[in-house]
Amino acid sequence: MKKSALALFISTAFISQNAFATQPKEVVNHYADIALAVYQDAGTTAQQLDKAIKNLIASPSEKTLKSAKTAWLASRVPYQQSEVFRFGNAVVDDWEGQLNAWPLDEGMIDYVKVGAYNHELGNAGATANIIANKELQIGNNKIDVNKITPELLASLNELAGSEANVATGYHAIEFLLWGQDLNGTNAGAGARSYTDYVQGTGCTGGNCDRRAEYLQATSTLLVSDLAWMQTQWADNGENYRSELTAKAPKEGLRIMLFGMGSLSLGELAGERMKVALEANSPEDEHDCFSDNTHNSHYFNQKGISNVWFGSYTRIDGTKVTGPSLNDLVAKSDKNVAKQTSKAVTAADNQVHTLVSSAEKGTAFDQLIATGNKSGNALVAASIKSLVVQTAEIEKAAGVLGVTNLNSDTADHEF
Amino acid sequence: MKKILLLSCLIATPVISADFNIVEQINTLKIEQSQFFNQKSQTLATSIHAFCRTADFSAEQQNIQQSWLQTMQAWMPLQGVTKGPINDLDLAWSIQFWPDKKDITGRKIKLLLQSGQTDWNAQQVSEQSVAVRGLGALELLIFEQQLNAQNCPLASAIATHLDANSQRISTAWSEQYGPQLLLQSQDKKQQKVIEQRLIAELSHQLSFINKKFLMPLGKTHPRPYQAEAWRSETSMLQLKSSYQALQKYFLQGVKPLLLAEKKVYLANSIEDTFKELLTGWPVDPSLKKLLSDKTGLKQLYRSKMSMDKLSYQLQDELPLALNIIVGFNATDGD
Repeated sequence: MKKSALALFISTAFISQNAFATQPKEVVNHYADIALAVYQDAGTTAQQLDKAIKNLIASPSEKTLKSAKTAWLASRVPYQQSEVFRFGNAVVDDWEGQLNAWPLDEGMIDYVKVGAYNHELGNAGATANIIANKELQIGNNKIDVNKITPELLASLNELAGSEANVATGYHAIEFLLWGQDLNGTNAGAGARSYTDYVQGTGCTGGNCDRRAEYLQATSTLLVSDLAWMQTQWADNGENYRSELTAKAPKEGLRIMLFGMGSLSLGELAGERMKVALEANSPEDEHDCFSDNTHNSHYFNQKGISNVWFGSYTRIDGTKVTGPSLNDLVAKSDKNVAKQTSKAVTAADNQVHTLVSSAEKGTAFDQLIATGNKSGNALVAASIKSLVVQTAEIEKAAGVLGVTNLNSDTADHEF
Repeated sequence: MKKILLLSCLIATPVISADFNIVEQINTLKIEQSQFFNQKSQTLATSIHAFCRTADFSAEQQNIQQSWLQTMQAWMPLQGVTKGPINDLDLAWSIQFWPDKKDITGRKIKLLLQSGQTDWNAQQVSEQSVAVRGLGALELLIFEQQLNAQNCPLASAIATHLDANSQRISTAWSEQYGPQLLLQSQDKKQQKVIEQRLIAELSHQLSFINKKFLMPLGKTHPRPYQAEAWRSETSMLQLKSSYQALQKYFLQGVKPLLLAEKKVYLANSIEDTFKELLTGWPVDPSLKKLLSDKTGLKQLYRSKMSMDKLSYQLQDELPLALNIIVGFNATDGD
């Protein structure tokens, strides 16, 4: 058996070198490998976060709160890289709201400072405060929220039709760890005290028991959601991956390119950067409670880069590499492949300047302040690099004969 | 039977002159539209300035409201375009910031009025959040607050700023972008690229207009404050103007191309769907009102059916028929 396989290998090797050149099917399959690795890492870091949350709840202190925050920040690294799989893959897009919906009206979850809280107009659940209330009155409806469970919280997402009613996911956890950022476009993130989790005497903010239950329930849900998504990308049996790889390879390529372009232009450059920048609105920054927006943006971009180059660096430092879109485009048009690679790398570097800025003490919410000309220019340069990258992705799509990249789902045109 | 059918097709199909040029057609249309928008912005600024100068705040403000409405409707054909001066000069959001989910307009205007500054000028407005620079901010001041001694200086400055921006757009179309486009299109290879871009623009603009309709409609519950122009309760008028402008773009620029490619059936079907959508359009100008009861919702969902059909025709069938790639636009995303 082995012999004949080897013989076949040798004989085909002499037929044509091109037979071994990158094929669309292999590129799509490797894309699924990367998705699996990214979701596995997201799952692992979510479990670590869950452990840290359990410690915080068991013994609230400065130290355990800090550990939970550190674990949350680490969990964002792989997850943000997974967002490139969102657009185009319905299995991800239909699921992700429960994990990463944003922006949220946090007054639905817990206490907020009156006068410093701006919510979506007409949102009936904007000040519901589930932690402080065992029953919610939303319009004419009464909702029993006495027992806080992962299922209950999941059912409260998009309550009364408002997307800003986000009860679960990374940003709900972020809010429960950091609290409201009351500094506007000045330095500083949310400053929730660990005492919000102290049970009995010493509890601050009221309802510390329900707050702890809430935090645990949403963390449990996050872990199980990520475990489910891993099963969808595993290379065994009937799951989403098998559907994707059974499609015509060109359709697989379309999904990959559509995901990259949609994240690059409409979502990252538009919703997540340009709205916040041009409206000088810190409520429209992505990780607004923790001021982790710079990393959030950078790892979104890294996700795009991963798909283009077919390479992902795992949280343990190992690399997943294989046949890429870059290889495939280069087969037909070296110049377009080179230009696209250049634009993707340039966007990596440009968006990373937001990380450097934050590390030097100027976070994203300060960069977008009215009158901060150099800060505004830095964000604008990132937006521009993403716009350029998107145009190159379109050209690459053209080389592969992929059309129909237009879709209809974001909110801001620019 | 066949003969008769063929004959009727021939009658319905105007002969396309070989030198039909979509670039010229669209260029002329856009220049007219941007000039018209500029005129209306100018009139609005003049009337706000005059009203604020007289300082008789008990006087009727209907004329100013009317003037705002006309300016807004004149903006509709230019709203949501992805190529051209508005994009190059990055002016879209300065003219109108939408969607404004968390009412940044309301909050920022409040802050500016509370600041106590009374000597606002257009330059200062241009340095503020986009949410307070254009039509949405003026709508708030004119309809929600009504012009008064306190907000007049700010309203006047915003109106001047809007007028100046509309002037920039109009000038750029007629003196730079338009002539350049015509020049570039003289090169055969370039002409093809520009042509494709102009056709794709129909799809991009449609995405934007549909968004204005779908966001307030909501997935499970109506969300009236996600609409544009909810403060003046004229959302349905704006939406209708948008679809009308798109219809004009199609009829003048794209339909002749479809006919030249002998895609007669598709050309006529799209024209019919536009008619169906616009003739069945609800009369009530207030989307908020229509969303608040069953009869209104029924009317909206009827229009949505035509909208869905139109979207399929323009975004799936048309690119295929004309063999063009419609690229990404900013509505791709969440």
